[in-house]
Amino acid sequence: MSVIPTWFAGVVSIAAAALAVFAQGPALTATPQVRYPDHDAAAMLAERKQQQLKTVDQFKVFYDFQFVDRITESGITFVSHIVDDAASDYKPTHYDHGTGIAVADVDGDGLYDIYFVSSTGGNELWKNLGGGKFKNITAEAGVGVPGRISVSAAFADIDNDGAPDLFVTTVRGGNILFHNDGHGHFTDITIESGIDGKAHSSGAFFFDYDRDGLLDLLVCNVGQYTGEHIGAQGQHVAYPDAFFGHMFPERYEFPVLYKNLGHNRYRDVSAEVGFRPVGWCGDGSFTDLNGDGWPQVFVLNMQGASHFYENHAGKFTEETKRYFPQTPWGAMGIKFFDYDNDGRMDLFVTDMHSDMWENVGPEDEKKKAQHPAGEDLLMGPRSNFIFGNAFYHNLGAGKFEEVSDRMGVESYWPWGPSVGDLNADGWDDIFIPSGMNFPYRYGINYLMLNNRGQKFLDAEFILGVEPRKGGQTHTPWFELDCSKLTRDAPDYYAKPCAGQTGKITVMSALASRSAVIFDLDNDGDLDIVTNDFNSRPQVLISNLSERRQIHWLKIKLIGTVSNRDGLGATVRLTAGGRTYMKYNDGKSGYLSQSSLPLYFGLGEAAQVDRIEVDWPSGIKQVVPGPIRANELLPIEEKR
Amino acid sequence: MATSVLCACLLLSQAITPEMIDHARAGAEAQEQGRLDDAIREFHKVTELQPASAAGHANLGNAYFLKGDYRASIPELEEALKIKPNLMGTQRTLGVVLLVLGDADRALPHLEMTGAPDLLGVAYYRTGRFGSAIVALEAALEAKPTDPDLLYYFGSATALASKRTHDQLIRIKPETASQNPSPPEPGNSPSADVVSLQKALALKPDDPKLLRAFSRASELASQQTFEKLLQSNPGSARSHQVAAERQAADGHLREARLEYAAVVQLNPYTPDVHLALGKLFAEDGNWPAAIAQYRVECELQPANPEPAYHLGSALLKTGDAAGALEQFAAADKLRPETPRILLALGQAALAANDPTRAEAAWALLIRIDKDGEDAAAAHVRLAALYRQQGRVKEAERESAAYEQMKNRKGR
Repeated sequence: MSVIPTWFAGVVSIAAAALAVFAQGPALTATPQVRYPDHDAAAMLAERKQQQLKTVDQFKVFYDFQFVDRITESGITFVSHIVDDAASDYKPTHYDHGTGIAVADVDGDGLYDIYFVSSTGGNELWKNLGGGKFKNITAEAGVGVPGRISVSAAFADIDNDGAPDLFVTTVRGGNILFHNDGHGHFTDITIESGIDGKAHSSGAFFFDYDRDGLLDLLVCNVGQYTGEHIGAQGQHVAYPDAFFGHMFPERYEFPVLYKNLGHNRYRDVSAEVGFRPVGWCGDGSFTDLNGDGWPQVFVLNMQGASHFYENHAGKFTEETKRYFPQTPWGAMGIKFFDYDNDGRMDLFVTDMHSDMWENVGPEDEKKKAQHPAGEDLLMGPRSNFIFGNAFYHNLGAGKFEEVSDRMGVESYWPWGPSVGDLNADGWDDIFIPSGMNFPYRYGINYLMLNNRGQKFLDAEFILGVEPRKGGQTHTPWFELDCSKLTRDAPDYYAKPCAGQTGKITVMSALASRSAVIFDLDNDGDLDIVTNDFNSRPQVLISNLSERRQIHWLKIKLIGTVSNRDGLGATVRLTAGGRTYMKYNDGKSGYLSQSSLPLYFGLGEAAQVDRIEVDWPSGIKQVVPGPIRANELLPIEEKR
Repeated sequence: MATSVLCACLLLSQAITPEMIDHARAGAEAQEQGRLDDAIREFHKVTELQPASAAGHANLGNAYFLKGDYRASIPELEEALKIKPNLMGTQRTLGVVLLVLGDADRALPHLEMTGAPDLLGVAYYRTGRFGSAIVALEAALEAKPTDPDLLYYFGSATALASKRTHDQLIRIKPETASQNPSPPEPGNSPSADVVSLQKALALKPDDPKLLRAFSRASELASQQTFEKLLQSNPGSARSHQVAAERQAADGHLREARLEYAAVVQLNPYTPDVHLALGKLFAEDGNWPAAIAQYRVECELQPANPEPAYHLGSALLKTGDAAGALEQFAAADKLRPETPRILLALGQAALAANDPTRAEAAWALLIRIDKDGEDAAAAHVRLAALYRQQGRVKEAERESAAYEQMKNRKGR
């Protein structure tokens, strides 16, 4: 017989039924609110604060300032929204990875505007009005992206006309390229650009891989974690075994490198340049470790080994083993920066997925994960991997030393780092949006102050980032009708319903996903804005400039032979006898690329003695001092 | 050195390469578009590139399954599970394949891993574990209360469980078998009553009161379930099947045949229907028709020894000893050391002029069964065979053994 018996087909078609009885929606004040898990986050945070305050004597750098959440004052009413797969129809899936936040001066008024990405319900662009105030200009800008499941955003000037354009990735909805007319009005030019394909896209970034002065685009694609059934938000419902997808070769998707052909047209050149990393890629970045001007690429694998590619005049070869023999198994976020001011780019990679194999308490958050999985699930021998964050100290000549534990940068449930000199002392600090939401306990965001290049010290409680505004740790997540619960309902539905009849509102822990560090209110110090999962953002305004006299310089690069944004340029600034080096990659945080000036904290130096710029074009430019501190310095590439 | 080579092989065995991904994705796309031969070809390449890829073998096995080539799917699915036992989807698919082919015994452990109550219920039913079948099918019916297949199996399982329990009760306490049982608790559905009684029986399997109550409750549940099936799915294949069984039980063979014919017309692949039809034809002495039906059932359930056994019996009846022997041998391979199969195998072997094989079958039967009725019959047949061959002492030994058995059991 060559036909499946229909009697059997009838039985076989009894697939796993969705828990369709649940409805997601805003909490009704009439329904009891039940927190899951029932964890006393407030007590935990109070205890952690006490412990952290005792460590202040370790700080050799300035820490006596605060971040205060001014979301209400800002006027920003954006709330990120999620799909049911992360709430009322919960399953462990990549839909809970959140979305990005990117910043650029979209209308050329000198103030930096914020683009919030939301999984569902549309993205929002908020215009900076100055003084810490913002206005929603999404509709007039035309960048809402309704009806798609958005993930990341990248601002960059793709046609060198001086206006930041915008690229947004989505899950299976097609990615979108917007052209900016210079006044904050965007046009969807995706079709004519040639950027096609519908994948499970994630992080993306612009860079000039072939140094032709035009910004190319690399798009990370995760892998097939969804099926064909369409859910309530129009999303493809995730597979129940989504996080095992890396074990199935047919579910893989490759990142794509698009070459900018000019005139806003792009072409997929991945195969011809030798770029085919195998993995589940959530994000990546670029740098120039060997100083030859050709940008190298690091793409993360969130379920296996990550990949580092050397660039040989526009052709790529994988050199991971040579540079980074061990990479974090569940790599999620990345930032190249010179943490110790030795003039060499170091690398920080956060590892989220290694933390998902066991629930640990706060006392174990700074330890590497005890990943219990076997090599079949790891997709390689354990010796290939680090099960936690990795901090690669650049020793020169292509040698790196992994120093994450010594540097104190291990954390729990980290998404992607945002780096900036938060106390303007010349040492770049780290902010890591972190935490899971339903059905996990509350997890903190980490703020690590750079203790003069010797160690990073936890300071989120000291600086007021934790606890959150008003001590809030939970938020309404979804409604649950306990009377319709089936016998085999999982704990995260059954336990909130214990002793309950009728409808309840399940409360979930809050958690951030992405962030951007920039001087939001133009007072000279750096502020932090987060994009939180299924809740409103935090607008963390620093009072550093009120607490002490600070010295800083913001450098806006303007390429003329190189791409106009100056992406890929290396800037060395000398002030007060010290030299600071930054690589302009626009990598402002997890799932985000922003168009921001480079911010140099100068410590005690009140002026800058010299600035050197290595442009992607190969032009080397010197801006001699003295240059007064505390201003925005545009540097135009000299032909 | 040997260890490091082995480790290296293991490392290589886990690596996913771009080429593998390309073939795997091509296979998935072909499968999605219904081009199953292309899908099979692409998945084959994946397993060639990476023989230790559980996903590769699982995909290949699944593609064969979708194409209906169940025999080809089994080794691939088994290989996938050997590499990675916790592939639940593959466990389920393999369980389904084996169930379809009639090998519920092999299917059961795979289905038990997945916990799917519908498939488990069918597998338990087919392996005679009616109590477990009842519990599983009741759970499945919660999600699909009018599913005709589930109702049929639940009704059948409760009927058979009722009979078996009644027989057990007679053996334990004959005098209680005819007493009225306690009435069911108010508010309980018959199904819930049966399930709770079944669970209680599992703890106290020889409790006469429980046995009596369960027997009555399951008989009632069976009747009500079949009524529900007939009302909720009138004109369906399963409702005709129930009608056929009722007609046959009442001795209305012609009406039963017509009902079975209706089942076949609606769904020719319903398992056991051709077998039942074959038996009806056999009762009528219509051997060619019986044989035809048995052959169809053998095709439908190649891993089920029952159709092969009945086909062998029919062929033997019509003088096709060689054909009968082939069928009994197949049944024996599927279910080795089964007394009645061995008995029949011996008969067919003798009829096919292979007395050595006959002797071996009956001797094995006696070793297994010892005191059973089939063993008794084997002694008699061996005695006759030995007499034919002039092996007098052995003939007398067998006769004596038979007499001993007869005397022990008061025949």
